[in-house]
Amino acid sequence: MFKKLRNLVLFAVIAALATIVVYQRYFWPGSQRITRTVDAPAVLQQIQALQELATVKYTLQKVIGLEEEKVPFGSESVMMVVLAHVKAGVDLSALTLRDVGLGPDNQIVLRLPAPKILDVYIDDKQTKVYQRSKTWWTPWVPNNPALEQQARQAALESVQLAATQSGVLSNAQQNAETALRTFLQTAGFQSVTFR
Amino acid sequence: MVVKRLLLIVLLVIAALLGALAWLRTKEAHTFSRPYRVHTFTGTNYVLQLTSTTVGRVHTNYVVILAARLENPNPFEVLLQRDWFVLTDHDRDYYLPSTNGTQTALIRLPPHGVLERELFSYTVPGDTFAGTLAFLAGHQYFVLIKSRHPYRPEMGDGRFVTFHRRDW
Repeated sequence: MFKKLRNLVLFAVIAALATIVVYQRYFWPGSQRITRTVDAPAVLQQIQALQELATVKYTLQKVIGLEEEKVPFGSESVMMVVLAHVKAGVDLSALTLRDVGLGPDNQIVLRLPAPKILDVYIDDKQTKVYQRSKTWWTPWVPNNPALEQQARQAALESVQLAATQSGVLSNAQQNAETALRTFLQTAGFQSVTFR
Repeated sequence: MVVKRLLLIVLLVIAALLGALAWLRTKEAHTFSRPYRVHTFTGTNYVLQLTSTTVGRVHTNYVVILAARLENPNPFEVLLQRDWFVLTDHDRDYYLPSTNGTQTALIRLPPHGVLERELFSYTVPGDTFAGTLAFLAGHQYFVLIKSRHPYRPEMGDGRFVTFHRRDW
């Protein structure tokens, strides 16, 4: 009777140990051994899929005054308060195989393309024509319907230049590196280096 | 009586001078906006006509915006690279047009179509206005858009001036 009970306990212990070993080997979180084959073209394809990665958006307000000299005499002017948005980032579709380097122990070295301004656009709701006038002594000179469009173009150029001088590109570069580092670490890379 | 006659003569002289000035400025505007029959690097014809030059200051830099009329006399679409339209100054510095917002890198001219107002924007340093400025139309013409005299724009940030002539 005692011998039977001992065998039963022994069997139960062995069965429990076997269960624990099997569970740990196959079902315990983190115990699975993932075997990945990572090659540079595959990584490149994944990054290129992100296309133009806009990483920073500046909103700038500018007062734009445009004066047009009329032929032969007189002038017409417009003054606008313009609110515009500037988006900057990196064009990841421009990456090539030469820009991706894979090292041992899940290391990756990336050379990002130079950051650039991806889009500049005027917020029409927040943009107002403040003043529009013409020289009083040239009433025969017709108004230029394209003057506002010209002022808007000037505003776009001004805003882009102002954003560049405010450091939008360096911000875009930093944010792109941060975003890509997070993305690649989530994908399993332990060390992400930019050069 | 003599005073009246003198006044009349003075008025006539002023009117004649104003008339001459108006004629000169109109002629200058016509010269500035004369059409150029140019062709692409592959030999396709199109017509380019400058309509205005806008100059402005933004912070420490300057902006030049050229407005042009482009006409396609061909029965097929013509594609123009915006980078072909280069601005050059007296120091032979070359400036490429910006390609953002509405200014796409590729300009499409529909068959027998006209683009009434295509804009080319350039960011230039202040010393660009010390001498002549020219616009490269196609690869045949350097179109002068500014005289050789220095131009010192006395303008604040965000102020722009548009010319329809090149003697500025």
